[in-house]
Amino acid sequence: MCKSKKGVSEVVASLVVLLIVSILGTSIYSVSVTTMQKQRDAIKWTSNIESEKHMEKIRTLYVNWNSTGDELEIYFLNYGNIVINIADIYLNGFRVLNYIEGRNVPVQTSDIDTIKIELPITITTGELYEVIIVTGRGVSHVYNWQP
Amino acid sequence: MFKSRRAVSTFIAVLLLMALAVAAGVVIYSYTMGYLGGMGGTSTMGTISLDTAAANATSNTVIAYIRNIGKSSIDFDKAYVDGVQIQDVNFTANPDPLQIEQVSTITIGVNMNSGTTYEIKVIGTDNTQLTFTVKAK
Repeated sequence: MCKSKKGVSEVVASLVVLLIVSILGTSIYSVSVTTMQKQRDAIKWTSNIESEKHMEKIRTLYVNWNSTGDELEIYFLNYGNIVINIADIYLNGFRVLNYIEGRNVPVQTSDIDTIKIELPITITTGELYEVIIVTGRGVSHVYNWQP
Repeated sequence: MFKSRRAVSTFIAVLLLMALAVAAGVVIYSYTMGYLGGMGGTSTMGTISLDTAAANATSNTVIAYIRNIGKSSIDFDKAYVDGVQIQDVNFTANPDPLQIEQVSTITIGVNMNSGTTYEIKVIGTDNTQLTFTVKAK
């Protein structure tokens, strides 16, 4: 007695297998490409920011303070090969919170510019202070200032 | 006389093989990604930079200002001082997460001796790391 065997034909079976393999392959490919692209972008970004940081060169030239006021004017030079902006200033480790003018303003190469701040601490004549200016790319310059 | 031999069809066999291959692939993939994850391979790391840091041996506090110069926000996770992990209660970041182009104030409470230099390491959840040294005053 013949046993009844019902099933899909070889052609249909092959097509189903091909379909499954194609779907899996496409999914893995898209995930891999997305991941690789993100990694590539991140590496490129890091490489760019590091090379730009190496092109940045800043120096504080002079600090102007009138002994009665609570404002400070910092003169700095951009002697690097790239436009910079001063993003933050620290005075003896205290972050300046109030800027009067000059913050995040683009400064061209070879330009001397100023940034005016409200003092975050009390200044005493004769004492030594550490003024740190930091650019948007994270490059800093330390200036020892004695009023 | 024919012996009765019953087995799975070719189609079922292929499907079983595929299931095995997929399962093996998933296992290998998760293992590999786990390994790469330790090196920052699966997540896109951020880029952070130290503005300035100060260590006070009197208050036993390290305060560091860290700037996000990358393309993604950083969620600070751990801090180490000379290789020893600082407990969560003694490690704060404000703001946390640190948004792009912003500065976060990192405060670490640890016993320090004046004049000694300490190596500080902060790590984000995406494995972004920053190591710097600071001399206690």
